[in-house]
Amino acid sequence: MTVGDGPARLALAFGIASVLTMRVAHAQEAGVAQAAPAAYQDRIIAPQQLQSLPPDEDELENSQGLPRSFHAEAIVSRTERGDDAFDEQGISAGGFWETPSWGAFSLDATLFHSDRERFDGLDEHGGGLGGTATLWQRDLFLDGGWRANNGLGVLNTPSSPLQRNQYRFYLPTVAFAGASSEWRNDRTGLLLQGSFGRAGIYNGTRVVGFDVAEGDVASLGAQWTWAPQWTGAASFLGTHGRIVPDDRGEAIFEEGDTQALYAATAWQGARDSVQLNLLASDGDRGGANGAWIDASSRRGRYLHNYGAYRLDPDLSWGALPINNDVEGAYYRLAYQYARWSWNASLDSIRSISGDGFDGTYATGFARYQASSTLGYGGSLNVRRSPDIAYSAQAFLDKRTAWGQTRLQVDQARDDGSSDSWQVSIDQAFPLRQGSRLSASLAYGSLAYNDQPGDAKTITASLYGGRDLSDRLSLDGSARWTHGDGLGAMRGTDFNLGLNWRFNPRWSMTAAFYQNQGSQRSPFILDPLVTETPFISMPRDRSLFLSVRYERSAGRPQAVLGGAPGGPTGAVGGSLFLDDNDDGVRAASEQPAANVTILLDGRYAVRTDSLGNFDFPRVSAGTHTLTVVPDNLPLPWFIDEAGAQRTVQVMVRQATRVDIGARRQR
Amino acid sequence: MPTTRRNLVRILLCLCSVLMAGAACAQGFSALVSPPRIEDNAKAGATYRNVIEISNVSGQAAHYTVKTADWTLKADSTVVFSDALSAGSCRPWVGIEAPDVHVAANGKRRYRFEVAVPADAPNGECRFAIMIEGDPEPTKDAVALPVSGRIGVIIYLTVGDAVAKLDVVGRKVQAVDGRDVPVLSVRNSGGAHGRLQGFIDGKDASGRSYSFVPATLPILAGETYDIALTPQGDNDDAPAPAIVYPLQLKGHLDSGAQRIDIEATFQK
Repeated sequence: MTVGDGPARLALAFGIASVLTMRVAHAQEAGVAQAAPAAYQDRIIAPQQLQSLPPDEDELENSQGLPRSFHAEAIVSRTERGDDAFDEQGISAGGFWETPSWGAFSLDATLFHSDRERFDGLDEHGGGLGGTATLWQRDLFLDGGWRANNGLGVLNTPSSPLQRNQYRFYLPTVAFAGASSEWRNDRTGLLLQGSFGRAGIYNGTRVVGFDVAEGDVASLGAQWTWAPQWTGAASFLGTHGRIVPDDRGEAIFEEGDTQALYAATAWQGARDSVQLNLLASDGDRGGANGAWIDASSRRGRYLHNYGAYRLDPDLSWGALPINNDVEGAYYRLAYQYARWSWNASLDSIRSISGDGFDGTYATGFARYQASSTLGYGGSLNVRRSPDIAYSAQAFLDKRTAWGQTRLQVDQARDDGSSDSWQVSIDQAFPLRQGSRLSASLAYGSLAYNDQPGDAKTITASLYGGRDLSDRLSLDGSARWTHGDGLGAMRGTDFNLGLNWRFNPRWSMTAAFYQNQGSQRSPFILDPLVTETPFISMPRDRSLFLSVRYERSAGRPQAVLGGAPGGPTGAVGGSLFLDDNDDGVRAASEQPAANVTILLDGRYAVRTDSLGNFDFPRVSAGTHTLTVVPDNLPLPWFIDEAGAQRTVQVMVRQATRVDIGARRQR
Repeated sequence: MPTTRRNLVRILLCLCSVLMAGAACAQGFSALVSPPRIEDNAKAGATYRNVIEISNVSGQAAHYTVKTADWTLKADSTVVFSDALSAGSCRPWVGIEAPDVHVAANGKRRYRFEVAVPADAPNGECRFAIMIEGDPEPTKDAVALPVSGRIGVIIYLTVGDAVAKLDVVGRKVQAVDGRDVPVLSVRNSGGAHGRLQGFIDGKDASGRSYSFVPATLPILAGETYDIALTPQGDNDDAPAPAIVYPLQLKGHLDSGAQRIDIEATFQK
């Protein structure tokens, strides 16, 4: 919990406590109240002077039965991508429904027709039908303490908690079309996972599609508690094919074959923990082995993280590239107390083949909270191999009546050859519920590894959403970039949607999407960062028009008393790549699309192209949001606080949660 | 235990209590009201309007009486409601939709209220509560007892650009949750409620340095409250630090844009 959360939570507690006090006080003093002097008479508003209320959507809903919701959408789009121009028409549908004894089901499906020549649809020719469908069944309770989660359709290979709990290296999951199953025994702590299907790649912008490739994907895994405080895990992942960028920067599958076996064991003490990971892979590139150990120790205000690793050349896991051809060790010391937060780390890295990075990488970071509204700090990263490259950052966070402001200066020198610098300001404005707005402005001189010279670049960004009326809302982001050097980025990116709810169950959305592509930031120096290889996309421009129908019914168990019936609210928010690591979504920060979000571990949705997710009808009370970081672009990860968080849903209020993905800097 | 964590525990205890109270009242009083608290701004000469929602989570239709009340905070941070009009109350500006409402079983009702701020109203804070009260409940013996439930929505409405002005008027060491902690007496001579925020550094008689966090209890306009300063543990799992008095505090806390400098020695 941050310091800033304190007042809000205490205020909530205060409100609740006041209610409590009132109830108790009244119960005790009820008899006395009758003898009190004549009570004050309230003014009653004349009926003709009462403000009109918007239609109550809940009045139309059927409150009988278990909760369920359904939506369907018809979409037409026109897209220009690189030199291609193509039309798509499709439908998407989805929903949630709870069953008495078969768990909770979630459906997410699209079906569309594309006339794009490069699109290989179901008939595997240029153009045709395509789409994606996923059906989840979660929390199917079985005898013996078992609980099962099953998936059918387009999924990601499941990962065990130990596999996800990585400090320095990350093992990506593989997207596939098929089936997966996960069995968890809450009594014994045993977890079994398996999946099988055809490999593929997500595509699409506002409408998610999935290109099925030639090869298969299979995984099998388990995690168990083999002694008090000790956990073990083992997983197998076999994939045909490998994701690489094509000549236009788009992701494609090339031929390849990988079988990999992962095993880990972890010990968790009160103040210390250690995890040993082993990975062996074999395939068309030959066999390779890897091992790494991560440990942490908490001592008072200090946290120590340290470890060592050796990952052979061509070590593989699934279809995406992972760290390989490295050996070394790291140590990181972090201090956190009241106003001060600082950390320092040192990595010693050597390329096993001699073809990769050899050297050291050191980082330092410090932040000081000068007052409840002002914090500032800086960081320095130095890479030596043997040329020295560095990046430095200074920032200032200030909260005023205008919202949260970050002023930041970045500078980088890449191996002595080129300099980059940037000054940026991010502003998140405080707005009433139903509106959000943040703006960013950056100016600098950026030099990219693959481009000669540097480019003076100015970037202005806006991100937000606003209810224009009871029925009309606008949301999206816009980014304008202008550079004047070789290889400079120029142009405007848009992802704007105008939504018109012309009936409680019907709405129409017009969306415009334009993306000029992106490049790796010159301020990231970490030699162990593995970027998604196809990050540089061709220019992409799309116009969408959709008509949506949605309907919800049923109520979960009431929050109070256990009787059926109860008030509802909504939970929504976004998942974004928190570039400046301040926890606030800045206009310049990119969304994370196609990432699965779970509500109470039972209902699943995927984030859209703006990173947004939405659970429209949720019972009032406390709920848990879990991020399953499949499809999160490397090197981004969700930390422990972001991966699972508790949200409080208030009656008829939309609780908004923005979750920032982090990365090692 | 760090203040933030202790606050969380308090909230959880409060929530548990609400749940228990809700269960206890399930037969007679099953209202939920949202939002539980409204904090907003209004202009002199304009009418502020808002809506609360009353939900009946029982399987039987319910009748509720609705009225306004004045409220204030006691020294122990509990809320005291008053049906009688307090001096300087803004309740005469307040209009409510109806004196009572019927809500169907498992139903809900949106309930409107307004605050007609006079054109000559000075900058300040209009503070009142909307009380929702259930009918008296008969017992098994069919004897009507004056026992019912009530629930209150607290409303703070800042008129104009009123702000809090906090001053430290006293200090002492006091036992809070079984531990001796430094406590500041803080007077609010401004026109709106305020809260102390931030960290203040201190060194105790043993030479150890700690950071202290103030309780975030709202300090109502015109009132003086005791605000405890809690020493921060080294981390969430660390035991609460034991302060060896005398304790020297030096630094500043904030309340909005106001900076409150503090340099004081606390002696048991």
